[in-house]
Amino acid sequence: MWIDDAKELESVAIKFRQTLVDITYETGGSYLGQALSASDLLVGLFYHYLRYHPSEPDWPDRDRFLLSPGHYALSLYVMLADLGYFPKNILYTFKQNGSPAELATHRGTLPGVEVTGGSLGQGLSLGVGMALHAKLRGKKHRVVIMMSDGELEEGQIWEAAMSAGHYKLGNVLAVVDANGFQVDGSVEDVMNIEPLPDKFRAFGWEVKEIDGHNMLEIFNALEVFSEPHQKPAVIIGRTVRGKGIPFMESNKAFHYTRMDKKQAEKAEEALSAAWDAV
Amino acid sequence: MSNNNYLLEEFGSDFGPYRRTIVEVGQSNPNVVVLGADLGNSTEIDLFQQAFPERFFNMGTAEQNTIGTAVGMAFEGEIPFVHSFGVFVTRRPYEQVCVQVALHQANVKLLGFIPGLTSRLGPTHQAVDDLSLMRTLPDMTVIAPADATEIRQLVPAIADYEGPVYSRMIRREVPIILNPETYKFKIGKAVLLREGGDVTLISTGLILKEVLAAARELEEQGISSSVLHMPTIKPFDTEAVLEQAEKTGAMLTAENHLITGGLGSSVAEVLSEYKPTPLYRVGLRDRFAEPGTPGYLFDKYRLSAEYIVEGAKKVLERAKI
Repeated sequence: MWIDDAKELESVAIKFRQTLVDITYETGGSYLGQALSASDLLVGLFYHYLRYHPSEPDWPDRDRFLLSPGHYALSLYVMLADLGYFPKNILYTFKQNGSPAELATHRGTLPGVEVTGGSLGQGLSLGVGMALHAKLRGKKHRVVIMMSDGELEEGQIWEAAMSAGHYKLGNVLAVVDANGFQVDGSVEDVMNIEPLPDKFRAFGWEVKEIDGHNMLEIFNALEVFSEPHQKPAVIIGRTVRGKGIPFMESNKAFHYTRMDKKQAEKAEEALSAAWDAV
Repeated sequence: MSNNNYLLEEFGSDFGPYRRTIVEVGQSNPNVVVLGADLGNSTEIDLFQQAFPERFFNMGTAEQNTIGTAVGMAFEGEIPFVHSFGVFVTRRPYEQVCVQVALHQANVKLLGFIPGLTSRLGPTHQAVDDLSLMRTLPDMTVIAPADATEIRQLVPAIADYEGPVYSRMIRREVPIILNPETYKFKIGKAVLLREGGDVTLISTGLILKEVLAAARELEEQGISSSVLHMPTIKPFDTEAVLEQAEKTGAMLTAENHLITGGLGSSVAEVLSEYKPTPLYRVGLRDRFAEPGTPGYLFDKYRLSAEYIVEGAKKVLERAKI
């Protein structure tokens, strides 16, 4: 599905957040804060960038979308179910015993889930392999890897960034959900990774740094990288963990989120108000 | 004693059999791609690079990313052969090999050069635990070739096999022990090279030469031994081991590796579960080695023929009790 209107996409993103809250409440918990921080970037990517056919998940010419931090799984499942990759009722089995909708992404469990990401810092390497393959075999699809800022502390990411720069993988687009938090607190306090734009540039990448909740900025950045470049590209989206739900926003307590009824209602109220305001 | 015809009458040697074989496999299979980690000549992929520059990727000294890259390629239908020293494709990127290669049964081939005590650089470069590390991973196939004949056959075999493989690899001057006319390598199959009645010597990888020398020495001392050659550590040929245990009632394993986790452990597991039989394990015993030539290290750490003979006698003593 392709949407050109930023306002319309903002509405889609709010609806997306409402589903995330609902599933989190109904299934007893998720990495909701991260799913909310990445929501706008994901909506931008799936409705205004990526080429795919939900009815043919293995379509050879699809753009590859690799979710590197597997903990963001729920957001990918909600997106894929919304687009028709699989029935929405599967979402309500999220992380239950025997469900294909595992707490962290696992390649092969659900259509559209390209990689296994529970162990952080590995998605970019997989993307480099897919991009080298595409170049070698003259294929035109793009390889898009979403990463979190916390996982950028993994050394493997920078090995991969170096190799993407070395091989000038212009068919690679990385999108970083830089929400500023990881398990033990703020990324700045735990292990500072800044200045991120300079680091990626030094590794031979093109960089766009944007407000990851501003749909126009997301559109513009995606536009710049809509066709393969001479170099790999990264969009660093500055985001807020728990975005859209005031009591969660950048609150250290919400690395993993369980919601009671009252919290779920408060969250729903905030999202409804945002919906009215669009 | 009876010598079957899998062994050459006179052993020879071949220089760089892998170097040529990987080029031939690249010729016959266009999906084979080669990844190196700054060890082109040292891992014998320089001819491949010349022959197929577009299918050759130097990933630098960054093994974790190399494994991930190979898996990304395999997901797209390539058949990546990843080359480094044994320690650097097993120990160093162990988690990547586990959760990307093994977990997905990715069609990636890992080639580990200078196995065991064949590096003069000491413990950092001596893969004495690689068989153990790889064997413990679900769905990983683990191979250790003994000579040039085996290398010539196993490389095309693992290219044809769909799934993850770790194989040790021997380079430069490689002995030719097995008869290329009669010997047939098959993944998962042990081959009985010698038949004898008193004790079974089980061998994997390049220690075979020592094992065969030990068998000859034992014969001179009036002890008749079988030699069971096991190039594949996993999947393990349980039947072949049990058959020999039944026949001889005394077993010895020899490996250029720690006695834990590799061939010795595999045999011990099978015997204790199905047919308790006295066993003696030749190999490195719960310690790191040191820099040195293979000959020096094999002697110092008691892997050479005379210690195999000694071990065989010990286990025969125990078998009598």
